[in-house]
Amino acid sequence: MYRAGLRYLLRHPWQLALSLVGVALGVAVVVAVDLANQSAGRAFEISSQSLTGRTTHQVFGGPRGIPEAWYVALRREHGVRQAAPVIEGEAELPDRPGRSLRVLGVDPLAEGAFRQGFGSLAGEQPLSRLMSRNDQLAMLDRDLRELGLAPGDQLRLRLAGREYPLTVAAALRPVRELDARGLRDVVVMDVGAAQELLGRSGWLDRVDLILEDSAAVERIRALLPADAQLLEAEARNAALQQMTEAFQLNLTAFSLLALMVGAFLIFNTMTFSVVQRRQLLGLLRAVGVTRGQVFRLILMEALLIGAVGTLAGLGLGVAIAHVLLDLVGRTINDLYFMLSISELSLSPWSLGKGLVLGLGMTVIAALRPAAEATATPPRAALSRAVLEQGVGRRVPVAALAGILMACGGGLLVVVLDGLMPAFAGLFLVILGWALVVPLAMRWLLRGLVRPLGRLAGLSGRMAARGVDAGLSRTGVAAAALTVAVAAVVGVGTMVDSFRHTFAAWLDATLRADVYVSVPGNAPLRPEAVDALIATEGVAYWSSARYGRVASGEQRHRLRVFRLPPEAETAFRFRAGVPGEAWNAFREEEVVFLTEPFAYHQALTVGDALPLATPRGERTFRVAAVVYDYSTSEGAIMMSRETYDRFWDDPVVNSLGLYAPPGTDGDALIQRLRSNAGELQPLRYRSNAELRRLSLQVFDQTFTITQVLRLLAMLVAVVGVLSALMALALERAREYAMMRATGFTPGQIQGLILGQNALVGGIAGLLALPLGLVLSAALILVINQRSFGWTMQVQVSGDVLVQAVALSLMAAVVSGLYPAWRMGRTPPGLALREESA
Amino acid sequence: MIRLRGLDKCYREGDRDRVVLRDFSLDVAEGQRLALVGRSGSGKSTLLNLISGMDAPDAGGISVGGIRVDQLGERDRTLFRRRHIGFVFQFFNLIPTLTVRENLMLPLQLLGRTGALAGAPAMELLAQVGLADRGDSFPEQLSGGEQQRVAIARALIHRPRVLLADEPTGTLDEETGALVLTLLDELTAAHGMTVVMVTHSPEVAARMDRVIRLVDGRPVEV
Amino acid sequence: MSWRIGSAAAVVLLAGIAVWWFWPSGPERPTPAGAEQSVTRFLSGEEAAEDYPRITGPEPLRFPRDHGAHPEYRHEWWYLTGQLETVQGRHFGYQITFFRFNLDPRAPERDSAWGTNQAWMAHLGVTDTEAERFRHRERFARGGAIGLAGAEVDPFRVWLEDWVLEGASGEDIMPLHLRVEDDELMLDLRLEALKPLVLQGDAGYSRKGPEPGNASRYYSYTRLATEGELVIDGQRHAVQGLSWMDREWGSSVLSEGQVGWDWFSLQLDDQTEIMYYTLRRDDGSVDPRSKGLFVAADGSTRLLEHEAVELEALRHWESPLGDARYPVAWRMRIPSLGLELDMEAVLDDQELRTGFRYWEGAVTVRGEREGRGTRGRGYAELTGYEAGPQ
Repeated sequence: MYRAGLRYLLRHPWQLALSLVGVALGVAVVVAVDLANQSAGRAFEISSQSLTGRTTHQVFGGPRGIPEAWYVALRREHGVRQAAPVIEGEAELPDRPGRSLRVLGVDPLAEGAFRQGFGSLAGEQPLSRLMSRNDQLAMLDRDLRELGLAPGDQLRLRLAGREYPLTVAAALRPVRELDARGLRDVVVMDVGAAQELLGRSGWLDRVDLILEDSAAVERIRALLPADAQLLEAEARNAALQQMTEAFQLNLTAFSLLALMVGAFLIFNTMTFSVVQRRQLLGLLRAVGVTRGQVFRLILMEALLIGAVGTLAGLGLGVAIAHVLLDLVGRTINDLYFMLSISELSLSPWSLGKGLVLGLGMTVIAALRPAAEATATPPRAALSRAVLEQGVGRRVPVAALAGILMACGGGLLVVVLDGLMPAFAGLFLVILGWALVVPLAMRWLLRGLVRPLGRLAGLSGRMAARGVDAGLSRTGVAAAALTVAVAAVVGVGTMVDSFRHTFAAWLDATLRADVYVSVPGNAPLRPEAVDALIATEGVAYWSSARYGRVASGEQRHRLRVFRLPPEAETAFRFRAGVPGEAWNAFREEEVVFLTEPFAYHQALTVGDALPLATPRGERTFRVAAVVYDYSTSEGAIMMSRETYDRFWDDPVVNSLGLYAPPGTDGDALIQRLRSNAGELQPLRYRSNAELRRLSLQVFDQTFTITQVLRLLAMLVAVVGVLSALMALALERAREYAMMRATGFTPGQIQGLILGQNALVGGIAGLLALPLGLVLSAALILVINQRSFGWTMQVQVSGDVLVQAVALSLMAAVVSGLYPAWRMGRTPPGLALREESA
Repeated sequence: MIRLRGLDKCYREGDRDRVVLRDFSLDVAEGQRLALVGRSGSGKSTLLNLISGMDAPDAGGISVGGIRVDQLGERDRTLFRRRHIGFVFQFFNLIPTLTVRENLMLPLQLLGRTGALAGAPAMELLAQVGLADRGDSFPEQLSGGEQQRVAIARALIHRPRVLLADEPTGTLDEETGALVLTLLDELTAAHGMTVVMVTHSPEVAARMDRVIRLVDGRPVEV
Repeated sequence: MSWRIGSAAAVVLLAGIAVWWFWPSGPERPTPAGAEQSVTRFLSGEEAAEDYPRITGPEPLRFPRDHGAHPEYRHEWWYLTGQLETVQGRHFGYQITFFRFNLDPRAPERDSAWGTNQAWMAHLGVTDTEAERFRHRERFARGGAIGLAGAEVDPFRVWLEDWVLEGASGEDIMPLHLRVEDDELMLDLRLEALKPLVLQGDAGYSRKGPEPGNASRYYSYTRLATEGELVIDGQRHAVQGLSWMDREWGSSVLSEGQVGWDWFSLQLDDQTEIMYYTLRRDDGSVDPRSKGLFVAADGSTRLLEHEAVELEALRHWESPLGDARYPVAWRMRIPSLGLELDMEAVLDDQELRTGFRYWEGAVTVRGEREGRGTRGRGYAELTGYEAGPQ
């Protein structure tokens, strides 16, 4: 009996292959995304384990950091010995654009108890120079080999915009494999060298501590500078990692969409295989095979397909994951923090999840067809028509269930808070709509019979009725296609809306003619600032200071702006009254919040926000919430005037220079360069260039979304291909008989392609409302909850037209092979084969 | 009317060729009603396919009403079939996605007659086969006998010169079969059509003008 | 005194590997492969020696300047050893040393306060004679402007993090205050000189090898009245006693064939002190540059040449690490002074098993001077006894 099942599958290789590909693709996408996410997580864990070492607590300072004298006093006056100073920064390899290294400045003599991985220096060079000179570094042996370097060689690095020839003083050869992975792309320098190269002399980014009990914690807390905070290292790492959670959850949800389309495919294949074998099944029942056995037969077949497809999917997933990993890493680097994800960690957990999902999905999808198969009465061959009648009866029931499901899902999205319910709700909406598709299609087709008849005579009617008559097949295919196209529309519209919103915000915000900063966000030298603002052609100027500030147990981004009144219009208010708010911004203890910050912290105008200042903790009133799309973490904005009242920190990170109308921007940059170029290596950017670069980063960030969108589409195309191809092949005899009646091959081919076009077109049309609902949910709910951004929904006609065209094309393409085959086979042969 | 000369036809089955017809020659006069009998696989259906131009011979000549079917291209063979051939199969005669009336109109429409030009003859013929009230039904809603009656009507509606029937009563009970055959007799006789019918039934064969048995790919006059 | 440890450690630190290698990194401390080999290689390495200033002959010392650091020289130390007793007569020995090293004589000027060529190391050892316990600690820090470790005058102050030796301003830095604390080990002592400082060698010029620049500046306070508190294993004791302070700096390195060093500082009941060291050669002989100093009760000094002193080891002790065998009892004869002394360690195991291993411990002295019985206490330092690639 099982042999009969297997032979059946093998005799329909196309169908088998396509369903295998469908399952494989679905599983592959899920596994790939999961692997990429897990690898990113693992890379983060390993690097923080290596770099945190045995550190239990970390001291962070105000925007400038911690004065190094505080650290010295800690050891000299208070005898705290389990303390290590850290300077952090970034370096670029000038020879390898795009590759960033993490710079860690430490005191080797204080490191002993902290980071085990550093205790493995080996090299021929006198390591003492690490401390006495500022051109020495140590790197992981593996990284050095990759760069073709050995201790003693020179490595050119760009730090804070300046290029340095540095000497590799030593290679790190950690004993633990963990460190060998966690220290990848890390450049270890002496704290003094790091201070000098990163422009941080006098300051530390943090002090790492090993504190064994709460008394020790309290002791340190009592010694903290007023604007510093003591955080648990683990909690801080967790908080960092948490920032990427929303992003990773979004990816997972997209990947599940692909799997869902794959599930449709299995359902389709199994239903079809049951329908096609109704005679065989009837015969089996007549011979004495029980219902249970038939049920198991079908299920076993499905499992076989599922198993083979899933295994292939796991392999394919690993391959895709390599590509995704790069994209995930880039996005994390752009949006959150520096992370070197150099290798894919093949977590058995991810693969296991893929396996279970793939097989489970197959079994669930096959349950219905298997149950259908058991309903085959013995001997009596269930006719197609009877089967279709059964399907016809179920279609409205399914649609009703679908509507209920979609409503429930919608409710879930709107009513409950949080991301998970939103995604769950969204999936219900999609599933519900998919269930409505067959009925909607039936109605549409019945309405189309007459117009099509008028247009193309009986062929037109036949096409419309043919799709309708094969609803058991076409319905599922159309539903799968609808879901996939809807995903394309939804995600496309989301990205469009986001980009549009972002670009509009950039236009509003980038008002200065030229922006000047130090690469790596190092401070501008005061004399450089003076030279720049005194340059001819600078009418007025703004300045910005970026840093972090402590608030309770949290550390927030702080942006300090010196803004001329003319520049105020660059900020658009989400909440707050501009006139009042701006006055308060300068005069009072007031801050503005960016929208994501206000969202994440649940703050609004009038609320109080405590911040640690060098004069102790002060409470600042929120005067306004402004739109801002630069960071999803959000930031606090403070006026320079207010900042200077509390902080003793004259540092400026960037300048915005405004020229009178009609000034030649390039000429201005030339003048600025000649005035300040000698003083400090600076980066000059016109607002147009900054806008272009920002959008470039934006597009890079969304590459992964686009890739997933395409993958989901690919799964759908395979699904439609298999469903419609099967349908056409099943009808071979019908077409042969029509040929006998006098249809030309061209007419038959036209009919096949017409039917497919109908399926594709209708699926595409039905996908539009779902796609728009999807995009609305993604933009207004999911993104809002993930990142805290308000976005303008921007429906582009292009996306809609493209989606329908895509759907139409997918369907028509899947008709090509059957049409070609019908046209080539002499009808006599087709008749013979089927009656034999 | 039908002139077959030295026809060879074999099919590939797996690795080997199966010879179905070998040097097969036969003449059928206009208006003659011929029964083809023989064991399963003896080439009866193949012969029908060759005459109708649905299949091409490996060698030999086929002429129907003076038209050399074997020399026509694919498209012209289809046009030839449209105009001159009516086909009735054992089952699966009707297009399930068209109503009974639409099925009947199909051959006329394929010949370019639309609207009333197709509708009126269809209704007329439907009445003749006694199914005037079933025009808007779909084939699946009819009984087997009714479906075959519609099939015969559809095969004849465009007045073909040759009617090819492949066991038209094979799946019907005796009584219904007889009814269907009577109908077929009446309609073809009225127009003097040439009929070639494949059958296993001696009674059915007995009703025909002439009976040919296919043995080893050759015709044997009975 | 103890130039061997200082200079050897200096070379090790110069190699830099020690900085990393010496880390007290807990139970999971990895043993870097090839470390042994690296140390040997660096021990013999002298590539930067010519960049340091050399001490080539006697020069008058100037105070208080010379109490402070001489950062241009390769190494320097402030070395205190002493004998302490509670009122009940319970005996303790202690050693505290602040070592300073110049790791990179051609280092550039630096912007960051952390950038420096000065490295500091401190060793603390306490012997609890009655409980037969010896505890020791080691610390490293960089010097330079950052202020984690350093030496200053006016007032006098030497420190490594919170380990501090402080004194007065001006030429006379006495009294001194030493405060050193580590978990369960603490010294808080006041020291007052009972005799003025004495210059070792030729007016403070102490030659160590045949090469002209292989020498150091060396002076000592041989008798410092000491009182204060001591904590060992969490137990606090009020103590008083006598200490000895050595000051030495220079850029000398080991000469060819010199393998080790036995050094003694003895304080006798008759208010005299003896310093003596022998330089051991790889062929088992004693280097003729071994020498010493006798300080009479009135503070006058007498140089002790190598030939004037006979030293004989009476008993040996095996390090628990198994690869070193130290002498722990000796007989010393100085016929010219009519001295015959028997010395024995108060505790056999006073080995500092730190990055650079050596034995530094309290000894008791019994014997005769010109026929009259005499007693005393002292410190011995023994280096170069560990087997291995020397």
